[in-house]
Amino acid sequence: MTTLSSQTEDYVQLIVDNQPRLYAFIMSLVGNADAASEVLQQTNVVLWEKIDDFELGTNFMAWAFRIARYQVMAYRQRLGRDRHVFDDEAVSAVAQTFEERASSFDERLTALKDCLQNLPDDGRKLLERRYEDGWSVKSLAAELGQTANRLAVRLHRLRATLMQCIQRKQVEGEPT
Amino acid sequence: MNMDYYPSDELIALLVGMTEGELSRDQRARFNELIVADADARSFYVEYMSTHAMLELQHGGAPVVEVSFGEPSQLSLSSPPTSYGSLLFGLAVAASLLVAVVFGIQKFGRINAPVVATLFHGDRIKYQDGSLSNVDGSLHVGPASLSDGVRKFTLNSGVRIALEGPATFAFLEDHNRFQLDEGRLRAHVPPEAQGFTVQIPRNTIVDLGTEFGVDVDADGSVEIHVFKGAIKFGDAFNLKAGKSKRINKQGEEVESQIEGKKFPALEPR
Repeated sequence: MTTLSSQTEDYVQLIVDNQPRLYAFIMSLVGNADAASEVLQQTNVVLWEKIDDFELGTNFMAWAFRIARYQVMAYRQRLGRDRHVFDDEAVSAVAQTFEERASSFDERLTALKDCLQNLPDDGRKLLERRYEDGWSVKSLAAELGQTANRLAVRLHRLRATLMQCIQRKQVEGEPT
Repeated sequence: MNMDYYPSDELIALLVGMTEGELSRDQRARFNELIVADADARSFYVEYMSTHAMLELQHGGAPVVEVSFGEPSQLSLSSPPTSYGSLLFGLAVAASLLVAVVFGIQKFGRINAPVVATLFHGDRIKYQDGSLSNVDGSLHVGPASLSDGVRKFTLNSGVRIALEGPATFAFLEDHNRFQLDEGRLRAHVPPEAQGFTVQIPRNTIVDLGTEFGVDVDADGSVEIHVFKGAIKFGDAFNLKAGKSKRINKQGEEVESQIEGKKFPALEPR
């Protein structure tokens, strides 16, 4: 049986550990989940190709974000100017804002699990159908007998409630 | 983030549009203005999209990292499960040092297929699993159909295709290949994509540069019209510009008249 060098294992572990944060970073720049997944895949390929360029012990997150930004730029070029959500200035501004808060991402992700449990059952189930089952708002709304717009606003309110809960947990540092 | 910040109704409407629907050009422009000019709105947006991303991760399953290195031999590396779900982590180590790495996010019950093309004309395309293509125009690998109308898209290889329904087709992982089971298309193949292949029932059409049309009937008969360059039809024949040929369901070749108007238009880039 062959083993990888410990340095390679450490590097791969860094890539793995930073997947959620990278995904969220890319999502904030491209605006939708499928595009974020695609760009993340490409980012990961480049991260692996550049294994020799990274020095263990230095700031992996900053480095990975830089590579992700280049892949976002490449994606936006393929997409064409008319389809961008953000222009270059907005992308830079959003990227900087995200990076300023990135170190607490894992903590917020952990807090999300508790905050989900605090939601009413119907709210939690609605989120499951939206995110886990992949229902579109249109299809969900049709099934629930609501307008798509009303359902979209309801999903927004659920996210906003979760955001507030996560922020409270961060500030207070204890379960609410 | 400013804990006393309350997003405006306008920002909320834009966030809802981004996560659950579409944004018009004007809305995108307005979104840009808001995000650049207002630091609080920007912070709120970043938190909001982080929450949206975390919900995707939480419900869709953990990131799955697969690493394959050339010719795999055996190895497993365990990793402690993370707080956001079980983490799959398998490694195979090659005899050679050549590495191919594939990472991706895998969702329970639904794997995120790679994007292989971009739609630039027409409504979203319907896949055979009932899903629609993305609002941003990106097109994934998978079988799809079109009941009527024309859709135009560019494969990642640079090939532009105008497809007319009714059509049954599939986007393939090979960015320079397209499957047409039934329907009519015109393809423009740039020099860098020479060798572009259309997979039809029982055969293939390989582009030798630059523009051609293919019509596959429900009974499996095929008609090919070459407008520029040439194509290679399986191992049977080559066909040059200005020529067309029909292969009936029995596989017999029949000469036909070239007819550009029969195929959906594809404007020059």
